[in-house]
Amino acid sequence: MAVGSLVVFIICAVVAVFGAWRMITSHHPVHSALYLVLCFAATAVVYLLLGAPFVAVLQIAVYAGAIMVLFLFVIMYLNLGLARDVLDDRRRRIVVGVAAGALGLLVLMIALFGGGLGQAVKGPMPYRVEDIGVALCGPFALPFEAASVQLLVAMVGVMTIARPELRREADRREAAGR
Amino acid sequence: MTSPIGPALALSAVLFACGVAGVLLRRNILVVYMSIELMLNAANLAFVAFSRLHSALDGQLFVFFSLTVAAAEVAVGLGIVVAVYRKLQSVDVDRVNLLRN
Amino acid sequence: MELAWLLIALPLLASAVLGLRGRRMDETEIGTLACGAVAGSFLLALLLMLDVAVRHGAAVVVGGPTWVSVGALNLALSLQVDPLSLTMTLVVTGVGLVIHLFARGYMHGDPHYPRFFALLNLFVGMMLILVLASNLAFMFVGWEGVGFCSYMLIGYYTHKPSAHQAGKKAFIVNRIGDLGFMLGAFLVYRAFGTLEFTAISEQSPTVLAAGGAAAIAFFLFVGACGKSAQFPLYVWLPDAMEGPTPVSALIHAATMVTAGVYLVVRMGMVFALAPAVLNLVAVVGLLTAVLAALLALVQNDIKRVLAYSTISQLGYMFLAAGMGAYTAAIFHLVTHAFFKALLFLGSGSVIHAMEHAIHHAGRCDDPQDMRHMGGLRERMPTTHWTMLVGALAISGCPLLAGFWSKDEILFATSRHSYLLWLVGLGVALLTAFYMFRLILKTFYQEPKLGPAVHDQVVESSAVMTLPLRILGVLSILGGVLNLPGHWFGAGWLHHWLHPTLGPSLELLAGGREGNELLGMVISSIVALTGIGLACSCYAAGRGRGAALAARYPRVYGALVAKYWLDETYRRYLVEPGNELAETCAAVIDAGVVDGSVNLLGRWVLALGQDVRHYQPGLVRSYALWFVVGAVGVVGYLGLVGLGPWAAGLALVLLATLAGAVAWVVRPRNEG
Repeated sequence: MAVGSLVVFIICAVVAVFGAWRMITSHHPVHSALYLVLCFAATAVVYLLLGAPFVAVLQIAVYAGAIMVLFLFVIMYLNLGLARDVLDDRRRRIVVGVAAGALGLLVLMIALFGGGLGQAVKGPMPYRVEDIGVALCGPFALPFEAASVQLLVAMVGVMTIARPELRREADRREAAGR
Repeated sequence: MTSPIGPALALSAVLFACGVAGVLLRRNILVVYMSIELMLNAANLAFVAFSRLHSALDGQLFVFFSLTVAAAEVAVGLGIVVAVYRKLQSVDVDRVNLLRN
Repeated sequence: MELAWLLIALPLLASAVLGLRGRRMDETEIGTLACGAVAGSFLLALLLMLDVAVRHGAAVVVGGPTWVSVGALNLALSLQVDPLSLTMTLVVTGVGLVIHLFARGYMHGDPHYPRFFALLNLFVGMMLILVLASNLAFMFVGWEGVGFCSYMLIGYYTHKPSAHQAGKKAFIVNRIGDLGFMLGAFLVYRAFGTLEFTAISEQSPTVLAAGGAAAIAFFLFVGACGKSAQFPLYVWLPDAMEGPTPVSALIHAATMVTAGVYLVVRMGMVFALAPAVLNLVAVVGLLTAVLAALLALVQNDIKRVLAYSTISQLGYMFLAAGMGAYTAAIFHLVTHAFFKALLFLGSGSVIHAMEHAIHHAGRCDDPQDMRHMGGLRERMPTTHWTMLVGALAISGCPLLAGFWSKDEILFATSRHSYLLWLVGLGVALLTAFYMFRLILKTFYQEPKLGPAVHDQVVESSAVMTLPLRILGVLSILGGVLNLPGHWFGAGWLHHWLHPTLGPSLELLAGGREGNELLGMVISSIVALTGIGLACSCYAAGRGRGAALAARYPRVYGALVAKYWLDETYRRYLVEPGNELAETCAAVIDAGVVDGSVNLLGRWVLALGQDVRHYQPGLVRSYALWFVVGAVGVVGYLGLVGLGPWAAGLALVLLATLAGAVAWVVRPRNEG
């Protein structure tokens, strides 16, 4: 395998894992969010290495650019300050360590030693972005439409859940409770 | 060019494990949620890796949809977090325990 | 031939209609429907008789639906129309019709009139099934059916606890016999592979040549004893008199109790191949006849006398069967139906009149007790004359129906054993004696309750006396059915039944030649002697009976106590049975069954209490369980995809994980 790809990959992998680790061990929620952004960015580079430019850009634009922004927005809106909960009791840490470790180990082994998942694939990048577009409007048209409906539903749902209680509803509920 | 598929899958596994640990260990709802996103991301990485392995576009397309769903889900989830915060004045996950006993 | 099914269906349908809608019908409608159904069956039976006669008595099996078809076992509900079954059918429907007509008047005013006739018709239907069935299984359906109807009708007067007890007793004692029937049927099936009568009759000589006939015959005879009240299973019949008199006449005189005789004759080939069992049949029959006749001497209830008389006469029929004289047995069955029904209905008429008279006189004596009767000859002439005819018939008075049939039995007995013949004559003597004791005490002596009651006695209405007259005529002329000798018209019943009974009778032919005429003369003398003795004891108020009783107090005591048979049964069978039942109820039912169910419930509760702790209500615990599950699933996939070492590793990890999780989430105060 080309050394260049491997080196780049290792750098990105280290950065991603570092970001993930710091995210879960950080005391401040905003710090956690930012570390996660870092992790996403590294992952985007790995996507590029895997021959998926469209997905890489999508990752930056949607994940890092929209989702994490939303997270940050909510964190700041709730104005939480320092979290006091990091890594609570020791027993729990042990167990969770075992659990997560087991899962990761298993997946890893399946990935590395399961049927013919070679270490690397040589060859030119087979796709162009146009191919993705054609597929979305062709064979994958239905999921595409379904996804747009889903976004609509999510929007409506969020507005329903998160809106402040109207005064009329509040009065009615108080009357019922009495 | 050559793509490091095996290592990519290994990276995916490690990120996933981190995500699981985060979900189980943190009490702050928002950090838990971010860990969930991390897990999703790890899965996306695996999809892309396999897509490259089999030289099929389907994996990347699935990531496309996965991303869409993740976005919608984050929106709704954060809405719920905000609503819960309004009720409980806290984002401690252990305080969401009305089903207890 | 579907007429045969119609014949059975008519009474059953009428019963169903009466059962469902009877309460909204009035007495006339009910009576017409019930009697009409039986009359219809009777006419159909006559038609079938013509048909059978045309075919010279060949049996016809009318197929029906298959009841059970399991493996090699194939039971069909099919009917057999042949001379024997038709004879029984004619008796059941003919005498049954007469009794139904009588019952319309007797049961008048009864609050459960529709129920009575519904049950009566149901009984007729079941009895027809019994006699017309072509195999043992379908016959058993009828067998059980008549047992059930008997139970319901004996206990008809629901306000009398003695009636309930009597019904239960009848059913339970019958059940013992039924066990014998079933064992016999099982043995038949094992030997023949089928339960069809035609097959059994044809194949008996070959299949049972190596023995086995005795066991079958024995068990079937046990069944017959139960149903036909032979020793020692006769104890239910006297108690069965708790039921209304028409029930006693129909079920316990003319039809159901004769089912045992029919069974023996129907399985005649099998019995013919088991001479030892035939001897047993004859001896048991004669023994029963003697014991019952002795018991009839000391009864004061008019119906009880007739009940024991029935048992005794049934003994005669079994004696005939045991002697191989199947035709004689059937002949006596027919004539007995005539005069016993007549006697019962006549006594019903008497009881009916006595009841009214006693009631009107403002007293409350027992209308069935003969010690309260007397001198009814003047007040109830028709009843008197018809009952006199019946009594003469049963006593074997020359030229009446009973004479011919009884004589044939005695003749057949004399050809095999003089001893049994003499005992049989003794029974005839006793029969005449106790019968006329009844007649004299009821109709001829001084009215025991005085003029206040006696003047109130009136003859019963035409509805009731007409049947008596019909039966009276039949009792006189009935002997025509099978006159002895070899002239034209003689032995009609014998010829009629020959196609069915022929093969078995050939096997049984034997015994010395006898002088039938001499036998007839001797039995006539015996009968007249019996009548004479009765007159000398009881006519016109002579109380010699009481004196006789006082002279042999121990004998008299034994007879009054019915040989203590009921008490013996109670002590050795009924009470242990009760104790067993109570033990079962307390220990097995309450302890084991309820206990195990309760235990199961307690376990479920305990399990719930334990598992409760694994649902702490905390989101993170749930998440932990998710992960555990995920590890399991992925491990399984690893097993599939990678090989055993991966699975082993997965299992180890899973076990460690599960243990750690369980330890973390174990019940604590604050979870």
